Amino acid sequence: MSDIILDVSGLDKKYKDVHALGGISFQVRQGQIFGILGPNGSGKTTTLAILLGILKANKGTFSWFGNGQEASNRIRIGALLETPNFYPYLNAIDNLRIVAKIKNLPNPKAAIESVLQRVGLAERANSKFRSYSLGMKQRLAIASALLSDPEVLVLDEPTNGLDPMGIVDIRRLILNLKEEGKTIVIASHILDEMEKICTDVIIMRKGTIIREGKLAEITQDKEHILIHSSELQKVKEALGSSISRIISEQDSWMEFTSDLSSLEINKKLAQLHIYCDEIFVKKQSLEQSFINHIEA
Amino acid sequence: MKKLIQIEWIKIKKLTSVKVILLVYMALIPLWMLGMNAFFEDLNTKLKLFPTSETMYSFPNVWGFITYSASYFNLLLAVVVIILTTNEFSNRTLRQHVIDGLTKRQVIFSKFMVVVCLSVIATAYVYLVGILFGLSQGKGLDLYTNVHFVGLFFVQTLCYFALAFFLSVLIIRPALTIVLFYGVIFLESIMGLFLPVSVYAFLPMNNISKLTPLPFFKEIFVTNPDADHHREFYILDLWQVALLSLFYMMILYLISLVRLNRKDL
Repeated sequence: MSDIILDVSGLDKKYKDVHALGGISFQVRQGQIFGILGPNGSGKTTTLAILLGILKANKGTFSWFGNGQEASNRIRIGALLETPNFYPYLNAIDNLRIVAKIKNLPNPKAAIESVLQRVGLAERANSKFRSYSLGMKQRLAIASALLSDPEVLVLDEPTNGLDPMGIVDIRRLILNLKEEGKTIVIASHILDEMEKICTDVIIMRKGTIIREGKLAEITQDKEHILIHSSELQKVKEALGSSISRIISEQDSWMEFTSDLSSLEINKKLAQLHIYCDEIFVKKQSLEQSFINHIEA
Repeated sequence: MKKLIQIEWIKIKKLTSVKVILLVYMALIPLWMLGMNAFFEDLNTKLKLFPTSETMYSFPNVWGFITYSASYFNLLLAVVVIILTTNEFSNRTLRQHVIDGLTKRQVIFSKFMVVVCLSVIATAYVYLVGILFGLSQGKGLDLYTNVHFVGLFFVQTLCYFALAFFLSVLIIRPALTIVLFYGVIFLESIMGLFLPVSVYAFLPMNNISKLTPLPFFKEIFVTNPDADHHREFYILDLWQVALLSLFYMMILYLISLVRLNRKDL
């Protein structure tokens, strides 16, 4: 049996004047925490909106659980897209009762109590949605996504409006869900958080995927090489066009990216009798990798 | 179906504006009936519309009068449909329902169920008020003669609500939808002044309003020198008007469904 939860092929979406998605394809496998990264307007939310049935793609297909685009697939998915959408005049319990009905939950009362407890909203369960702070609204949206104990969670900017503790709570929650074997598709701007939780990512720009793979592979795409040498000018001249980009330079230190590995650089410099005091590789953050890809 | 009705019930039962409109609707119908009595008694003295032993409240006169009177307040009740539908767009809950697993067709169907339930409630209430007014005359109970007006009233509520729903899906903004709802009805009435009678008789709003005609219309207007203007009443009989209205209702729901299916949420 295939472990592919989501198979996206050639998804293309045009608005009037904007080509929002340019035929993207990717797969999400069981148990992955799959991050969708990209700057504003890169097509992250459009992608999720198509996958959740609220936008129609102009071209391309996708399939959840190998069942195509059936609406019944979405019963098995918990999703939060952009803003929390609830009835402002209803309290948390009534809002979740509606979701429970849509999801055909057999024991909604217990599920609602449990999920409100889980997101820390139990004490405000009877307050109207309109009286909630932004963070509480976001928590309720997460509660709604978790309500049916779904096989897959699709979260778009889940930490929006949350305070630092709230962000930590969501991170723990997502990692716990991964432990339970859930698959999570998550789009976020907070790269620091994404780095802590994602197993796989795609980086999008202007509606196309510019990089995809395991998080570990992506953060090591271009090594940051640090050189400490009293002959820094000579080092720069020797490496010439092998230096892709100088990240920083101070006194006798230089941090840069290169098409050559640190070993190859050391060898090349040694052949030219240029000796470095230190040369080492600095693992780059997801943020740095993201910036490298976007700027490339 | 049960699930969809239960979902709609959770939404409606705590919506204050809907409760207020329903209460106003329920209060206005009997009050209007009471207010019209003096006018019709006066008219009856001049035109002898019905025997002096009868009133507009007597069975079976009451069915024509109550459905005609209540039909104006259906325009108020249509605001409930507009509020319930546009709320789904402004709160983005329709979008959330689809994300959670409903199909757009189910969303349309659930609103159609609300419309049917509201129409049943309005019709049952009008029927009940009719019975109470009839009984108040102390001349026994006649539940059947001319009671077809109550059935036509039901069709009329469905049709008005279909227009309200259609405009809500089209416009999305509640205030603008309400203005346009009344605007369409008003505009069609104005068009009636200029269009040939044979055309005006088939226009949707005119047709729907004719489902609950003013009782004794012929008797009241036949002496009027402007009676030609009202000839459109006699181009279609009541059952043809009902069928045409149902046709318009289906068209409105179908366009709403197509519109919603094509629309990105």
